[in-house]
Amino acid sequence: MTNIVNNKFEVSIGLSRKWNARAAGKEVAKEIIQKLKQPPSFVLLFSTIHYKSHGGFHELLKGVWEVLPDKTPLIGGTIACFVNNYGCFSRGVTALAVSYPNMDVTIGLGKNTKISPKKAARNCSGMIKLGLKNSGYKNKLLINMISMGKLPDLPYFGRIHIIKSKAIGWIATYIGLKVFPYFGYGFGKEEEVIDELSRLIPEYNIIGGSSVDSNDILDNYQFIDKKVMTNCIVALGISIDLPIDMKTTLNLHKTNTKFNITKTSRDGRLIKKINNLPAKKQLLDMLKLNEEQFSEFGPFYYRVSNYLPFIFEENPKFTSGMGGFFGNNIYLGYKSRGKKACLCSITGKDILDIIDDNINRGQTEQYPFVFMSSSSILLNTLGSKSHEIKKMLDTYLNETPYLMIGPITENFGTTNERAIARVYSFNSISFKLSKL
Amino acid sequence: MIDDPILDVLNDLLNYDEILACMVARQNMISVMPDQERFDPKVMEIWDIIKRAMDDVFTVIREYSQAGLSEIEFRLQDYEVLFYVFPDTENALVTIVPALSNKGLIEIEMENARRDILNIINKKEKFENIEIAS
Repeated sequence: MTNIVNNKFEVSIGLSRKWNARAAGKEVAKEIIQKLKQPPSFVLLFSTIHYKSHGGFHELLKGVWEVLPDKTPLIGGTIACFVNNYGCFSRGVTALAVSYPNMDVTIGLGKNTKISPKKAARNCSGMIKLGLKNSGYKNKLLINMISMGKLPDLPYFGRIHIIKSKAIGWIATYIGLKVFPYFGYGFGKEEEVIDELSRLIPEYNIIGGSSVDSNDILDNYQFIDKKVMTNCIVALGISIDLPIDMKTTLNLHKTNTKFNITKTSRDGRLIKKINNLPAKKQLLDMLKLNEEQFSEFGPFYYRVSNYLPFIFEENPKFTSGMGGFFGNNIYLGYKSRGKKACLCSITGKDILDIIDDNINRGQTEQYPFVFMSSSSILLNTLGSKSHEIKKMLDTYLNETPYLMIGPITENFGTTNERAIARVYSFNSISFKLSKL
Repeated sequence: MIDDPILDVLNDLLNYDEILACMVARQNMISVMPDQERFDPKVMEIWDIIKRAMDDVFTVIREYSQAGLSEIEFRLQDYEVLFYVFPDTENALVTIVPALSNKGLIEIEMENARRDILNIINKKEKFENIEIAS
């Protein structure tokens, strides 16, 4: 799939479904390069986690760089699923390459997001600012991938997602959560990274997401240049003469389950008390669930938590998901943004509606490509019906190259509205070609 | 059988950690099945009961596939058996996954496999029609 506009703006989308990491990397890179007349100005590379056990991500990148011209700015990471012009997939590797002369591009990296999210954001934004300091183009865009949280996989305990024991829950809450990040585990803290990024570089439009595995929350990797990283933010800074067109949509239905969060941990990620009573029991009573129904990762996460996102009445644009339980405490994917919480629901139709609302813009504008980021939980909810997304995108975008990535959570912001990290939203970005 | 492209699609599905067994089948008949050595040994331990349950489900598929039945599944012990019916036929792509697995993402690839197999069947039919005509 390729698009060449006035011999100036070139875009290509690549796909490989090969299982061998090296071969897949080579194939996807060949596909994007062969379709362009000029060398790419940048490449976005996204892969599912499967290559970890089929050669590894270093091999995947080696394959890519066998073909890609040296010094091409490249970022990306692991995601759970993706939709592009070729189909809807939860296994494979995809890439988007752009070539355009009136654009400056640089890459940024911030390490140790789980220990020092703000420092990582500072380092990343510093690199981006430095890399684009001489650029004269006024429109700025930052595309990012951030390492999401990782469940510790410890001997004897396995995946620590739900700890029933109050004593071990206490240890995990007060000691574990402080220690886990030093080993690369624990909360992703993407919202802190994004809050800081949007504060430091408000002149940038921001779109991205959290890299993940197949939604198991055990592993994730980020790609930058020729390196495979983990526990970091990678970003691509773009300065361009074309106007940037972005949109975010969210449509959650409030349920009748509303409650007051009366005690949280200092960082707001753990809910300790609901209506002044132990949080876990209160929540389970409200949901009419018993202990047996959430004793394992699967039933709780895939059957309950995914379908009941939180919103906060004081800041309804923020969403969060329930991660699990530590003793009596509920831990959230993102920190609470208010005291009055409401559980929401989302149906398959709601999901297709937010995509329709986002992409169906009357087609008055010509786009060289469309890049989208939305939570993989939405596609997990739709299952085989995720192919409806592809059908819808084909209808609205026709031959326009497009890539929708499925990180587990997403982030989005414009120069008018500061970026936030959240979940269950659908976000898109493109450039307006009317100037060409 | 070795060169059967449908077998390639099934073997591809078996590369997924969470797909423990898969086949193309209809009632009382398995049309295409990969080497059973690639199936999860624990599934094979209860294969007889799974097979009997599958045959009962195929009665439903036979009855309703013409009416548009496209997917059906059941849970047996620690496993879930997913049936993706080929439209207007009594055949289905059948996969066995662990109960409580992350089915949504698996279903995306099952749908891709169903489409790939349908393409193969359609191409075969086209080829056979050409042969008959000539």
